[in-house]
Amino acid sequence: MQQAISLLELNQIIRDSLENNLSPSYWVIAEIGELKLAAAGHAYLELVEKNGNQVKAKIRANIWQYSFRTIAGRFQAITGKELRAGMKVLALATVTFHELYGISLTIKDIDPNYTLGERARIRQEIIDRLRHEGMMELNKRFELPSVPQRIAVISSQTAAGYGDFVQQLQSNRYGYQVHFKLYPATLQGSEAAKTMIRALEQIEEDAQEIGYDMVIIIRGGGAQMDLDCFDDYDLALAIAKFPIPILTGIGHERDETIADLVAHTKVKTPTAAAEFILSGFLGFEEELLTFLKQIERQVSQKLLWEDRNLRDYTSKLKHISLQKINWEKQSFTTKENQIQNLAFNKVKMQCFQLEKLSEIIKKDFKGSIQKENQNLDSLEKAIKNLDPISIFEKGYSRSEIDGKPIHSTGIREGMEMVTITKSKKIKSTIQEIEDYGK
Amino acid sequence: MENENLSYDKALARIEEIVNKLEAGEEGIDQLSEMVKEAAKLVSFCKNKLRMTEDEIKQAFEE
Repeated sequence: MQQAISLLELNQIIRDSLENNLSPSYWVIAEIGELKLAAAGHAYLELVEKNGNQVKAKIRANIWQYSFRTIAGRFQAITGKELRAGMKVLALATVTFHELYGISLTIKDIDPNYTLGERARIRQEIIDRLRHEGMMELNKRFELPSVPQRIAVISSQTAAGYGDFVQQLQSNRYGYQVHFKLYPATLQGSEAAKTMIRALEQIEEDAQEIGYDMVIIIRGGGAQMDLDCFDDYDLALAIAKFPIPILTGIGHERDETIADLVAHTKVKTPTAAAEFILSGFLGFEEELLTFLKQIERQVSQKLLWEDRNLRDYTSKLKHISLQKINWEKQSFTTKENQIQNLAFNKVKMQCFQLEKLSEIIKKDFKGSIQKENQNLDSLEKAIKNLDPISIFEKGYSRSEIDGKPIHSTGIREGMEMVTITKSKKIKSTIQEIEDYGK
Repeated sequence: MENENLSYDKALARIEEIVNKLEAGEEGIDQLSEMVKEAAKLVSFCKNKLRMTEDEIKQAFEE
């Protein structure tokens, strides 16, 4: 039988063999199972390795106060997060064995890039999965209303970002009225994703009645904070499958969360979310104004055109009327001339005829006068011839009985007879009457 | 016989009547003498009238 040794001696042997056989330090990949900060500034941890929920390995570890400040500071600067339980880390550890306290790791350094890479890897896995499941574009298929009337907001009543959002909406200088309702949720920590999913479920239920046309997720804002909850697979799935377009205003500058990727539209800050909504209103109003202007332009153009048309018609009418009148005038003048000519011709003809007639009359008249003159001349001659004086001149005489020519009275012997000569009246008594001649 | 209203035709008719009477020769010498004088006057009246008519016509056509 081997000689028995004391426990202290055994523990000293263990320590010696560990010290002799182990390297001074190891880079170890492990998950932080527990992290406690002691009053003195030291950190006490439990590192684990899991396969699902089953713990495969476990060891105590500590980070002494003088190195913890440096390690924690650098870690937060690079990853944006505080060291905490559940994180997978790459740690530079020295194995120490103390006779009284047993085995533990003293952590001298933690490489934040590993955690960062690990987070990115997990994130990428989730993205790949969502992409594979066709979730990335699902919420984007909805058309975002240009003028959202009913908006459901997932945020925290007390969050500064929510305040900014409300302030921006309510004091917009255009005076637009935007109706929204807050569905409170926790926006950081391990419960954040779950409360947001619950809020989404509530919104979907209320949407039956209220008819939301947009959902906005607004984070608290302020200092750079933990964004892990927005990389949650379940939350991403709920956002992707949501029947209403979702807008995210998570308020981070550096990179996109998965919630941003699956949401319909992503803006950087809560204020930007409010501006986005207002810009929709403004754009809509501007579009309306543009339409109005177009209508106005079209109408005035049309009016102008019609006016021109009318004027054209008017001048055409005037022209045609004037032409017609002129034509009629000309036709009148022609007719007038014709009438005049005809009348003149007629008059000329008549004149000519009259002339002829007057010539004839003159001639006839002359003839008549001549005839009359001749007649008168012959009458005059006859009278002269019959004038007893001219008979007496020739030596003839005239005898009367009782004032009557003797050839017209019965004569007897013894009757008294007067004989007239040129210058004598001779009274005689009839002695004897004797017939002679036949 | 100095009647201005005496028409040419009446004067002419009277002249012809006188000529006929003169040709018949049944009147007394005094009457004959009167008739011849009347006829001569009538002839000159008629001649005058004819001349005047001719002038009037000429004038009328010249107007």
